[in-house]
Amino acid sequence: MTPQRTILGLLFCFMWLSLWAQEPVSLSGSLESNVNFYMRDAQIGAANTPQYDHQQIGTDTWLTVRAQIGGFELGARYDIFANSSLLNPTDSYTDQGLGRWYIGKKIGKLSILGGHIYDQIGSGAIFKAYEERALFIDNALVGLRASYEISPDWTIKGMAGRQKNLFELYPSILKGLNIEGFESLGKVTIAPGIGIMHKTISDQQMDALAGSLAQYTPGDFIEEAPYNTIAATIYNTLSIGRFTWYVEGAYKSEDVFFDNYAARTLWTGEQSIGKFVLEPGYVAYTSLSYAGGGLGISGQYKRTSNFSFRTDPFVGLNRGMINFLPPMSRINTYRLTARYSPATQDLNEEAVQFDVRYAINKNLSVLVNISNINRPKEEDNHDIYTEVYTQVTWKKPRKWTLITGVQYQKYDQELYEGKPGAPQVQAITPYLDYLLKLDQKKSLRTELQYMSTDEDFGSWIYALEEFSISPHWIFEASDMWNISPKKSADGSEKLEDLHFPTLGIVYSAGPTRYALRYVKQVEGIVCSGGICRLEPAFSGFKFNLTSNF
Amino acid sequence: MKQHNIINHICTLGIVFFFIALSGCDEQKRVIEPFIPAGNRIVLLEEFTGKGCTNCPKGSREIENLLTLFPNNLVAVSIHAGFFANPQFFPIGQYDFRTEEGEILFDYLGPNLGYPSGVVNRIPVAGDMQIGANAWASAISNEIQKAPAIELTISKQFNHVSRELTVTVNGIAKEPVAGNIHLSIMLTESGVIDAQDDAEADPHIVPDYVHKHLLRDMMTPVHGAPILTSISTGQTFSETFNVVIDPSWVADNMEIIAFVSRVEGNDFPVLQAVSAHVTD
Repeated sequence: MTPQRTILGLLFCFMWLSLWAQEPVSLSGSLESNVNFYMRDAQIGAANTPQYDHQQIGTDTWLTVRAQIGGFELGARYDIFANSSLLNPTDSYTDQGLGRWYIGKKIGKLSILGGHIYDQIGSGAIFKAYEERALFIDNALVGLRASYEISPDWTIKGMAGRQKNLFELYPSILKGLNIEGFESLGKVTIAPGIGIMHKTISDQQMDALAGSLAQYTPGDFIEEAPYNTIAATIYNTLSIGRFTWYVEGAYKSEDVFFDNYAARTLWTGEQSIGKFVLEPGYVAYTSLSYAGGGLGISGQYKRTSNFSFRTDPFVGLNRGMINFLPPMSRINTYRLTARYSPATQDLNEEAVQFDVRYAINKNLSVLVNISNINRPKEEDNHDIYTEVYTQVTWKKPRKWTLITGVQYQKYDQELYEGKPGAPQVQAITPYLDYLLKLDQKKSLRTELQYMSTDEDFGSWIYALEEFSISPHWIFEASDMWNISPKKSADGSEKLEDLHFPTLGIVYSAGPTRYALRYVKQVEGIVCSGGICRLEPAFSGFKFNLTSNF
Repeated sequence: MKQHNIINHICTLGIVFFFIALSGCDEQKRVIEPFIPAGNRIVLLEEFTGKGCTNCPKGSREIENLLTLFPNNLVAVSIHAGFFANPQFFPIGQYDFRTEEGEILFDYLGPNLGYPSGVVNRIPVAGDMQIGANAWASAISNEIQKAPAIELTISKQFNHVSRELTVTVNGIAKEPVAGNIHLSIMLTESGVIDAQDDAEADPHIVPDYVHKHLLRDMMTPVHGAPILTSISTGQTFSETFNVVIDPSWVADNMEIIAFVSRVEGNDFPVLQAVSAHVTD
């Protein structure tokens, strides 16, 4: 069905339901639009893409409309990408069309939803369909979902469809089933669940896969490839008083996937890295936490082996992902503490994380977070990430808030960013965030960070001043200064202590927010929940409009 | 009562998953059989690469692997174009391998979703014209199995003194083809030594990397020379083009790659390709 026909179909449904139900329609929606004005700056590496060379302006826009009428739920989203760098940071992407539509209805204990579905099973280890615009992830399941309330605390859910691929669909078929519930046994509660995801790759995909496998040398040859892959998970949250224990185990049957690190022998006799392999996979994840009396402690452990689960064996990076593996490092938000973020390794990863928070009194609290990630099956690049993060929060109510601490990181840049020969980055970053309330409406926020490192671009200083006049205005000015450069952004030998300033103004009027910024931004990694993307250097203006209506 | 409920739910779960698990047991898997090329189809692989692209030598090794596997059924050209080929941003080595034609083809055969990427017979695979190196073998073996609609031969003359090259491409249709037929002739050079970023080398900048199948020039317009509006079975054609080869290129290492494509709007599949060395 073409997008135009889908829109017409939805409009028809909407009008028919309005007439049939004879009741008021509840309409809502949202708009998000990002417009980038590209201004070439070769010195910082903001150049050499079509946007800087000749396109000048790029935009990414999502317009969503939702309606509720007569017990029906309908929605649609129109997406526009014009000269966008989201799909490929080094190239330009232009397309537009219906990014999402859905129609749903609750009939007694049965709920049905057809169209583009965002959902997950458990923590997402075997299935998570979601949208993350900054990373250009939109892996909605396009099909049908039905869920039934077995009892007030137990639900069974089934779904089937195909995964969205930009404005098209991947050909493989996905089917899933999930049962989860909640039981209270006195002071003990449990929330168990079990889920299964079944993937059948299409004949067309199998032909392509068989075509590639047929060319492998005898040592790498795979004799049989399955059409079907089953991934199953079982999980439970057990709560006893102040303790909460979550445990999940997932297994994936034999599946052909591309292993980026596997050695392959070519017909020329040469060795190359990367080949298709046929392996089963598993994930084991657990977290134990305690909260009470101002103290919060949590520990997490995760072991992943060969758990690449994609709807198409030929796609990589953030495309075609069926599942989501939770990250095992702290999600940092400050500019420099978030500069090096580890992407989840789905083929081989063992990770632990501890987090301790203690509120000494109502105005003073401390936090320590430690995480370590390694690749147990590898000798090279074995220890890939270590972080120790400390934070002290000190408040004088209605006057000021001070957040300060130090972060230590060891980050395998070669592995995470695919930069061969790059040494492990070791960085120490003290930071400070001071919010001063000038009066009931005005406040001033100051951020200061210093990253000390001898690797990558070298050491940085970051300073931000943000002046807010509630409820409408925010004025901001910041600078990220490469105070001790080790590498030039344009690849030349000439090292300069470059500045990356930002000047911005934000205006909010009710549910609408306008932001205009002049930005110079160094290249880096942008992550969300352990899924990361290379963000190229940027120079120019950024205009952002968000509105809910 | 509560425990009874839990047992009921767990039993339901068990039954459902038992049946699902059963459905997965009895699968007839796809038997992979080594592909042995046959026939006279010659497939064109256009690779987009760059000296600053650290994963591109992986693509070059895959090209050599495929040429070893399909010695009579594959011709390849490596086109340095786009982001990673720009020496201003990747000042590696001494030469700029980009060509005007290569940059135009990079857009014409786009969009690019990463490097190295390749285009096989200018036919999209699952909607993508440029595909990753792990999908080339499959696309090539698919194309090899199709009989060529047109058969091609090349005759050439090269004057070592004036460096003038004359190429005549002769064709005969083996089946009728409706639509505009374009002829493209590319000149490639191998054995060119210059630095290259290579993720699999240590150190990863290889100063004496041997570049192969470099696109140097085109003897026809970049989108091909329109030669026919249709062709019927048995119909022949003969087209001749001349060029003077740049003195810095080693003629003995150069190859002529000619191919015909059927051009209709955004569809321009290659019907057949052929190659010959500039010198014998």
